[in-house]
Amino acid sequence: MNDNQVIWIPTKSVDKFEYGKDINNYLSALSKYSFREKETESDWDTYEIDDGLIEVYAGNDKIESICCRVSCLLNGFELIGANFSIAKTRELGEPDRMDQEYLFGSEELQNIYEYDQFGAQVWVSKGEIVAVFSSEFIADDEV
Amino acid sequence: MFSNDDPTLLLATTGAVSVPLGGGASGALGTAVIAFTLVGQATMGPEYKPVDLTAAVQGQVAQTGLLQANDAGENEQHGDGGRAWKAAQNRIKDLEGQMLGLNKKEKKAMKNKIKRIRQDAEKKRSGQNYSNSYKR
Repeated sequence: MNDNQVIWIPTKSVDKFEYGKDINNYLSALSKYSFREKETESDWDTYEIDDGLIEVYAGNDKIESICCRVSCLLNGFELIGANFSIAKTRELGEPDRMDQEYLFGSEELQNIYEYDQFGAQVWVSKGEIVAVFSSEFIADDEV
Repeated sequence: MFSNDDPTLLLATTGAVSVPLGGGASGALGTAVIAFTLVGQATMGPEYKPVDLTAAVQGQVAQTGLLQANDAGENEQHGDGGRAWKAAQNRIKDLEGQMLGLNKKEKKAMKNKIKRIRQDAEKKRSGQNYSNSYKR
């Protein structure tokens, strides 16, 4: 494992960051991060760690979601850059929902696959996984 | 200015004309002001020295900014980050409007989606080079 690899433990953590924990517990130990305050009420604060290796999103300082765009190791399998069909067969299984969203910066339509048991949203561009958003498990009836 | 005092004197004057660019009477692309030089002898009447109009127009255009390309050069960033940002903001507003009445799981999924749209548009607006950046 190299410095740019990030381990994801579904519904628990990404790297050292645990879902639901106070982000302030981690900040003093971080060598490099940037902070961007939420822009709207429905937004989260963003902490970009190690030049974007991980993005941690927090609401009222509680870690709500984490985005990986460089590396996301699930059981030793690198999801970022992997062919989605292979990742499905190897680690992810069938998604609970599929959606699409047009990205105006990249100028492309990307596929979004949601996995409830992992608390994850997997973004796929041209058959390749480009981002994984993950959080704690949320039951269907939670409001 | 012309003078009739000395018929052998080579005379010269300068001026400027407005030339519509891009067709039409007013010129779809605006108007270039072209400097000219008029030379002649008083006895023979003025004669016009050929002026390289292409060079003159190019010179004026370069000074005024008319007809200058707005697209990116070979080694510059491509695209319009501002336009992408605006479109992304509209889409985000649209998604935020859809969040009312969603349960916790659906809200979180929507917020993740909004984050992705925003980060993608920000990347474009800040001019990050996709090929050189390891961010996706």
